[in-house]
Amino acid sequence: MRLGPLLLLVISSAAFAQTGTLTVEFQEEAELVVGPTQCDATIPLNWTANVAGVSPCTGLSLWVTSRTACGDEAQSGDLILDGFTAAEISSGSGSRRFPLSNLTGISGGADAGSGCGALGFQQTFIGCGRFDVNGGFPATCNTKVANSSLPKLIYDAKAPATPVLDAVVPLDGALQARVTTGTDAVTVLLFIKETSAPEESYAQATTFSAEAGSGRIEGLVNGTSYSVKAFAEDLVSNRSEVSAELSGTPQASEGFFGNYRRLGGAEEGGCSAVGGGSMISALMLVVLGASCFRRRR
Amino acid sequence: MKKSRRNGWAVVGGLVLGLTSTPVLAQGSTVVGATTRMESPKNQMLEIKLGSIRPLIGEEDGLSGDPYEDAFGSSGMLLLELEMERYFYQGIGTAGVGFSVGYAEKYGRAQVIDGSGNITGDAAEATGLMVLPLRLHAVYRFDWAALKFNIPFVPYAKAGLAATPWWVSKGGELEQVGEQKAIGTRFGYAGTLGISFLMDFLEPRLARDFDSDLGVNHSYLFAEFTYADVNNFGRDGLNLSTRHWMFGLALEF
Repeated sequence: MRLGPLLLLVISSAAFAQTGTLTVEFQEEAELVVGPTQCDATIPLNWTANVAGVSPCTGLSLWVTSRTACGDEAQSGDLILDGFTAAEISSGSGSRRFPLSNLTGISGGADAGSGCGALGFQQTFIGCGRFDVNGGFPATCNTKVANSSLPKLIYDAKAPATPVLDAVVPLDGALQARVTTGTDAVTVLLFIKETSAPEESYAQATTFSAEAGSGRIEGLVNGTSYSVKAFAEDLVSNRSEVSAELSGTPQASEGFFGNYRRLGGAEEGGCSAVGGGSMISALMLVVLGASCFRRRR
Repeated sequence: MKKSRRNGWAVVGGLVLGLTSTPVLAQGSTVVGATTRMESPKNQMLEIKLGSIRPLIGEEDGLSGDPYEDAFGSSGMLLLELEMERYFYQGIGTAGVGFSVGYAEKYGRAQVIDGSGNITGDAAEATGLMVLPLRLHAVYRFDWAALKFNIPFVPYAKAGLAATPWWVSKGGELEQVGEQKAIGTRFGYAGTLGISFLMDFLEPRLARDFDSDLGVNHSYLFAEFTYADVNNFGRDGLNLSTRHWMFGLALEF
């Protein structure tokens, strides 16, 4: 008679304690940022579930939303993906892929063909998943196991801030451009033309990391005036407006050695600087040095 | 083998303790008379030193100016040097062989030149001269009076061969004039006269601990003057000769 309540307690405790877990993510441990150049891409939404000790009583629902929270189920405007059956949940993990352009707000043509979303558009999405397990006593299919993806999926079609071309510094056969960029810029592109050439002569000369702050354009002719302008690009290749144009003229210069040679210095540098007598000295230095400090046994 | 390892640690420890002992000296220690004690064997000296060198580049025959002065002005190059010596004689003084390696660099503005080759001003690019002086020399230290009669000054002399690898940069790269790359090595000879101050004299007990714990027999502060002719024994080319003072710390172990 006394075993009845005890058994009841044990069974009910086990039922309440085990609820299962679900993890949903676009990319493992990192925010997934996509841009207009990837509008043909398919995006994965991956899930893993731990259902040890519980029995899923519904299938797994998956959806992607631009709202800040998933809620209990997909709402109007959310992208609903094909689900998984209760039996498939027990396999522990799975994935569904969907075209980027299927997401709300990212529809082709809005930006006149250069991407899949309107220019300047930036939207954050979260992936959602849910299944139910039996819970309570007596067991009923009403215990929700859900998760929303963090990190998130960010569609970024917003151009970085227009860079500021601070200075074009004349170097020997080269120009150095110093550029200030916004925080979202990753790469700076420098374009150059001879100042006297028409506008359409601008050609990309070099790129450098926005973090570096300056880039060098080599192979220029000393004494010729060049015009330079810069663009900034972000992580997903959104390009900024063009900077203001600056001009610079490379100048021939000489360092210490050039000046030394011009003033009549006889040093020619390189290995030829080592004459016969000097070779003997060098050998003596090495041999004596090695023998003096060799460890005594 | 064990002795060698011990000496290696002594060098490192010596540097640390040698520097940290300075405040102790500054507190006004008592000078004590000569003491008789058992000290560990000594056969090496480590020196770390700093000084300013001004290569006599403008003295090269055939030069119509001083390119060092043009690029870097009149100030010298800060030279940091490490030297190891090994003793072969310890009697009335100490004699041995030493090897040193140093590094110095100096940066200035490159110069803009017009089509006629005239300098018209400073360029945005920097130019730098880098030297790596190497020396192998015989050394004699008159430490007999210091060890026997507690006179804390040890005069010394060094003479030997010098080799100085050098290179020049412009705009962050090795400078090249036509086909000639601005890199090479110059050789010569060098002599040094110096005087060391035996710091054990100020704090004998600390010095004894330094020896018994780490194997560093003596610590010195020193000043030395070097006369170096580094011009490939009078041949044409870059004259890296110097006449300079160096100051540093020496540990004998």
